[in-house]
Amino acid sequence: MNVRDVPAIHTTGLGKRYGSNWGLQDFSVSVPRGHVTALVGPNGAGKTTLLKLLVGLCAPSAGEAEVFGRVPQQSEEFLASIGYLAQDVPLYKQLSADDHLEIGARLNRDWDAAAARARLAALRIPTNRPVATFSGGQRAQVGLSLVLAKRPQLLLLDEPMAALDPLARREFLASLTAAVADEGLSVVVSSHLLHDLERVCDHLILLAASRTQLCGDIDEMLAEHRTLVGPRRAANEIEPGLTVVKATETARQTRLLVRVDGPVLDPSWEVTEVGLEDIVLAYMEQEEAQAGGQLVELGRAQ
Amino acid sequence: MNYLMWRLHRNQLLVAGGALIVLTVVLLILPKSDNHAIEAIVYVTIVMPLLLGLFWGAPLLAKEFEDGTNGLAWTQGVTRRRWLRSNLMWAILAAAVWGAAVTAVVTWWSLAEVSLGRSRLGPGPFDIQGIVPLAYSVFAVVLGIAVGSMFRRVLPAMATTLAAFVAVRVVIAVLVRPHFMSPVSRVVSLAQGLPAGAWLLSNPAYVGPNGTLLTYQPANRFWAFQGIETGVFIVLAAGLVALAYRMVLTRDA
Repeated sequence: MNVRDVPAIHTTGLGKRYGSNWGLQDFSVSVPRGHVTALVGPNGAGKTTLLKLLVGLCAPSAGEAEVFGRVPQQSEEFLASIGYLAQDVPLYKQLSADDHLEIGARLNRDWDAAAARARLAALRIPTNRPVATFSGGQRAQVGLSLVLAKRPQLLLLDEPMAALDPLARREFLASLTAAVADEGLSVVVSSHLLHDLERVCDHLILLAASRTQLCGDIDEMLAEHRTLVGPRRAANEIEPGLTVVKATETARQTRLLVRVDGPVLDPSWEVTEVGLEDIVLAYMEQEEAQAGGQLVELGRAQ
Repeated sequence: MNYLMWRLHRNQLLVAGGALIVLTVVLLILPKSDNHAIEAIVYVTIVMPLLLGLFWGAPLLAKEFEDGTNGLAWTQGVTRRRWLRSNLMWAILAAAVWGAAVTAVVTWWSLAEVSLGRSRLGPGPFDIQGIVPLAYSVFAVVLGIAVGSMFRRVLPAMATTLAAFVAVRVVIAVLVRPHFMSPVSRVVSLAQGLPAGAWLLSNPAYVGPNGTLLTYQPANRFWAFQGIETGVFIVLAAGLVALAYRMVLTRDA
């Protein structure tokens, strides 16, 4: 296999157990290199766990993960290939951005301090003050500059915009967009706010209840999903080839969000395109409904 | 890694250096005839290693875990193993140097056995001279680091370090140290009394008109006892280093 064909991320049956609970379960995906992937899902769905598994901060309880064909491990070669920005952007509070850049220069073989300084200067972030005095937006920008200075092949960002106000969020996204314009960089950004990521990302992984719900190219996802509205009918009257993700019924109408293999043949449906956010929400609701169903069954058994 | 260690902990180094200077100045102006002052210095010197374990050892890794900066450090271009090695190496080196400096200053000042007018082997004088303070300092700091890597929170790590250090020190000093070597038992006349500098282990027993039975450790065993006690604490410290490695290398971030 050509080196260029090795996927950025490849997992098979990956799982992580915390005590008796699975933080991530049976997770199998393959993400080609060069994509900007949105990792979305509700809180507690396993997004942070997945990112930690991919950078080797956690060891899997089941299955395996590969990043560019290598198992995440404690080796300098592997560590040089990844950049990881943890949730809440942990930095040494008493140190300045300059100190962090100096530390990074000494801990990494390949270090682009000039680009990081230029970015921070452009954002007018003072680099000589302790980062404890910074706003959340400034800290996130420092964190992003630090991971980019590492010149990783795979950049993993865990909820980098969670604590930011809308303006800081937009600036952060602009910085990220500019950074990933460089050829070759693969990125995974996790968030529970899909809206922010839609403009930057071309790939999507949807995690819900510790399992993969969707993984793929965003354009393909948009092409595969349709909303159908038509006269009310029973579930068995729906033509094969349509997988119902979500159904809502009124007295007269049935409204479906479906996954389609080809054109919808039944002329009684009014077919419309559907936005990414609606698709994602439909899958998340589906998972919630199943989880709810299990609870009901447990209740009966007692 | 060395730069990171220096940048993160240079303030503590300055504080430790400052404390050493203060101690030296106090000793210079303190009259050597003042018994209370001498007692106070003994206590302060005994507590020094504990302070090192509490305020340097315990937070060293626990603070990183508490702030999440271990995730930052562990995804740079150095492995966890190297990161831990640097932390341990510099902490142990600093503790040893500082412990040695404090001991040197105190020993120089007291010319111990003369000024304190007691056995060098007895509890108190034994604990602040020779090479044992250095071993206590290293043990305290490694204890703090290991406990910090286990609890990953600063306050529980400090509390456990305090309890464990005091417990180990007291148990070894009171229960184990008297038996490092078989004590000497001799009947001496009242006129002879205890040999100079010996450490009396039990109350003299009257055995008749010839004299009393004394059980003691003779003064010339001072360095043998220092060596054994140092060995015990270095072995304990080595066990704690192994624990810290296990905690950092095998547990999830």
